[in-house]
Amino acid sequence: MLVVLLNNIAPRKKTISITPLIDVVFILLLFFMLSSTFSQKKQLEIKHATSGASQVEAEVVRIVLQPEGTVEVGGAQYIVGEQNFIQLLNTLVENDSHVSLSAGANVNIQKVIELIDMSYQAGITQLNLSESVEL
Amino acid sequence: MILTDTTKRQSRRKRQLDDSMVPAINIVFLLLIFFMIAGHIEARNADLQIPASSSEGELVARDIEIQILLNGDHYLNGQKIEKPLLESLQALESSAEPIVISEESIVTCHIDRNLPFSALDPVLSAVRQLKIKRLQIATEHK
Repeated sequence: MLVVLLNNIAPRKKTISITPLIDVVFILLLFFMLSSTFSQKKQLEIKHATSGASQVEAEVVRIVLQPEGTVEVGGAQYIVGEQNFIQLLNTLVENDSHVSLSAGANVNIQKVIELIDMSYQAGITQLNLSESVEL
Repeated sequence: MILTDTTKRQSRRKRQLDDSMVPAINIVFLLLIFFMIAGHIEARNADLQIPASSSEGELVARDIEIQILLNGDHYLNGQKIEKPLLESLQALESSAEPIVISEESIVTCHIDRNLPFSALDPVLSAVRQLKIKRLQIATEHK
């Protein structure tokens, strides 16, 4: 009788169910899988030469990107990516020219970024971005 | 007696099922840890798809961050601005958490790739008037 009574009073070892824990872990996993991004943002740096800097006005080469994918440099037209344009960029690099880049108001920003990218890849180090121009 | 055997069998089956779930749970935990450590969470905006470039320079968070969304809204350090950008930038110096704007300041601009170049004009104009030398345009890798 006493044994039966003791058995009823003695705390029974309870097992904790891990099912809710696994449910929560699955939800967390889904959240992190759907919301995580792995792509690192990059940056294109443009160093603006302020007025009064040592740059000589005559050395600045102005490049204007036009909507149809051509650029105007000193009155001459070049098609971006073509051989003569690449030659022009190489000449600018050799002369250590300061490039002032602008574009037509309607030119897509992605095209401008591609041109900046191309200029940096060619070796141009002094690049200034100016406000858009009406073409 | 028969009842005891059935209970035992059920209990064994349950234990076997629990045991077979252990590797799956381990993998789920590992995946969770991987996504928590390797990924990073950031506010995404459908109106802000930054341009692509082949630049390798890592974007580091700066004091002055400008966002220009596809719908034309301008954000300065996460706050939507209604005033002209130049005025808003100047107001940063007298804000609750003042940011000193000098020639050495670095402005980071997140602009939507589908916008026309003229959308960048207010930023270029403000940067020039504040004599800020360094402007970074946020891009994603091609």
